[in-house]
Amino acid sequence: MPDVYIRTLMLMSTWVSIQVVGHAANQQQATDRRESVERAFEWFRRVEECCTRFDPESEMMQLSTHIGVPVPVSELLYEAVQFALAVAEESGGAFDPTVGHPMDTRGFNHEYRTGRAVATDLVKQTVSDSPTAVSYRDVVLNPDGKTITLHRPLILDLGAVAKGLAIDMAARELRHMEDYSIDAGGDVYVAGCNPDGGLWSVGIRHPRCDDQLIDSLRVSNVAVCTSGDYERRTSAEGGAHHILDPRTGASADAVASVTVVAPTAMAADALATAAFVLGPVAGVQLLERQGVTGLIVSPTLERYSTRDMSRVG
Amino acid sequence: MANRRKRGRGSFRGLEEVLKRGENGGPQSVSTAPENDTRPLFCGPIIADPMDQPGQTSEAGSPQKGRGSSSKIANSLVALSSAAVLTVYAAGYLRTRSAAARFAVVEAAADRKADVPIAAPPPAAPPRDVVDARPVETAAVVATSPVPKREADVPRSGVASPETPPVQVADSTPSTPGAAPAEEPTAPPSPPPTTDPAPAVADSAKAEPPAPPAARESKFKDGTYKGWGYSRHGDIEAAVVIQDGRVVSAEITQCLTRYSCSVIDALPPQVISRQNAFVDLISGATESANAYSNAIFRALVASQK
Repeated sequence: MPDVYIRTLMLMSTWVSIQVVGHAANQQQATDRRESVERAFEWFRRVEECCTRFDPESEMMQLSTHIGVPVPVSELLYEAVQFALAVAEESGGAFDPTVGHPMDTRGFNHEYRTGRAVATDLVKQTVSDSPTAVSYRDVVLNPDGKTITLHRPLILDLGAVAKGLAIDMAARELRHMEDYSIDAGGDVYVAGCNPDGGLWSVGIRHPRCDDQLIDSLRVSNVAVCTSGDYERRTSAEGGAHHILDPRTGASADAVASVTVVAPTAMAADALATAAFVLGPVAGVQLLERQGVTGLIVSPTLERYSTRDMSRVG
Repeated sequence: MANRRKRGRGSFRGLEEVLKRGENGGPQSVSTAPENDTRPLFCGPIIADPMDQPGQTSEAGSPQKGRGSSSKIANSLVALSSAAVLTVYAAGYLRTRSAAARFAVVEAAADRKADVPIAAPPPAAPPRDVVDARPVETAAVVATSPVPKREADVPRSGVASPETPPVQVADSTPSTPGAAPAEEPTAPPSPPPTTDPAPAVADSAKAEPPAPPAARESKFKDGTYKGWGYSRHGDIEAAVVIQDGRVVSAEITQCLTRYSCSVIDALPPQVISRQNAFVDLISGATESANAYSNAIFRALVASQK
C-alpha cells in the first residue's frame, strides 16, 4: 500500500478533499507532493475570489456594475464565461449563466461558509425582477481584447462552471502526481489508480434515500459530477432546490439527479446542470451529443442513461 | 463483457491529451461504446475507461486549440473546457509558483509538530451552523504565517475593483491536523473491499501482491481510539479498535449529521481491509464520507506508536 497524502479544506462553500497516492519515497518527493496539493488548493481560492456571486467585490460581480460597455477581464473570468455561454448555446438556453438574479431572490444569497447573507444590492435596483427578462444572449464576448459586455443589467451565476473549472485547474496542477483524486462536495475528479492500485470507485447517491447509493462507478482520469434536487434547498418558496430552469425561473422538476462522467469537471458539472433542466430524454440526448457519459434519475426513479454508461457502471 | 478494452497502467492522460481527444473524438466517441445495449444497465462493476478510444496515443502536449479552430470540436464542450483550463493555467502559472514557495515555509513549520499525536477534538455536539466555523478558527492560527499579498497576475484592468480580500479559508484542515503529512500505516491491504475489481485491474502494474502481514511491523498500538470528523451537515465520531497491531473495527460511534450515517455503511469495512483512513468517495454523500474518513484518520493518529 503506497503512502497516501490527503488534505481537506473548506473552499468554494464546500469541502474540498485532495488525495495523492505515492510520491513520498524521500523527503524531497514528499515536500513536492505537499506543495503540489497546496498549489491545487490555491486554484480553488483563485477561482472562487474571481467568480463568486457572494462577494460584491469579486471580479464577476464588479462586471455586473458595468452595463453596455466592454469590460476587459482576466483570462479566468473570460474563459469561464465563454464556456458558460457555449453550454447555454448547446443546451438551447436550458443552462444559462444569467440566472443570477432569480437565484438571489429565491434565497440562494447565503455564503455557505459563514452563513451570512450577501448583499447584491449594488445591482438589485437595476436588474429586472422578471427571471426571463435577460438571457445569455445579453452577454457578448470579444476575443480580441478579452472583453465582456453585458447588454442588459444582469448578474452572472457561474456556480456550475466555476467549481468545475477549479477542479480542472487543480487536476492540471497535480497532473505529474499521476494517481490522485479531487473531491469538491460531490464533484469528483479521479486520476490514475486508487491506493489499492485499481480504478477509483465513485458512488452515486440515491436521490431519494440518502442512506443508499444508486450506483457505483469504476473510473479513472475522468470527472464525475452529480446534480441532485436534494442539494441545498432554500427556505424560500417551499424548498426550491438550487437548479432553476432559466426559461421559466422555477426550479426544474423533471429530474431527481443527473450524474455526468466527462474528461473535465467543467464539462461534467455544466452538462449535469443543463441535463437536469432539460429533463431525462432531452438531457440524455444532450449528453450523447457531447460525447459524455451520464445517468439521469427521474423523480419516480426511472433511469435514463447514455449508451456507454454500462462501461462505467 | 467481451468488448471491454483493457488499458495498460501508465497511460495517464492529462488535459492536453483530453483536448487532443476532443479534437479527434468528440460526439462520435459514443459510437465506440460496446454494442451491448441489450444487456441491462448496472449489472455490476465493470472496468472501463470512458476516455479510452482506439487510435489514441498517450502523447502529451498537443497544441492548444481555441473554440472554433476546428469544425470537429465546434460543438464539443469537453474540448472547449480543456482549452479553457490550459489558457487559465498558462496565465496563472507564475502566481501559483510563488504560492508554492510560501507553503514550503508553512509546511516546514508544520512538519516539526507532526510527530505530536493529535488528540481527538472535544466530543461536544455542536449545532450544525457552528460546524463551519471551526476550520475557519484554525485558519486564524495559520494566518500568522507569512501570507503574501494575493496579487493577481492576471490583468484586471478596466474593472475598477479593489483587490479582493483573500478568502479566509482554513489553511489548516481537520483531516490533516497540524498539516501533518498523511503518515499512513503501511500494513498490507486485504483484497479490495466492497466492489470487486474486475480482472483487468490485475493488469495494472500497481497491483503488486501485498507483503504477508507478518512481514511488516504495525504502527498501531493495541487499544480503542476515537476521533471526530466534521462536515457542514454535522459531525461524525468513529472508533478504531486495534488488535495485534491491526485495525479490526472502525465503527461510527456518534452520527450527528443531518443525513443518516447509513449512507456510509460501506466505509468501515474499507478501513478494516485497507488498514487506513482512505475510503472511497461517495458522490452525493461526500461530506459524510469525508467526515468519517477524517474521524478515522484522527483515531489512527492517536493510535500510532
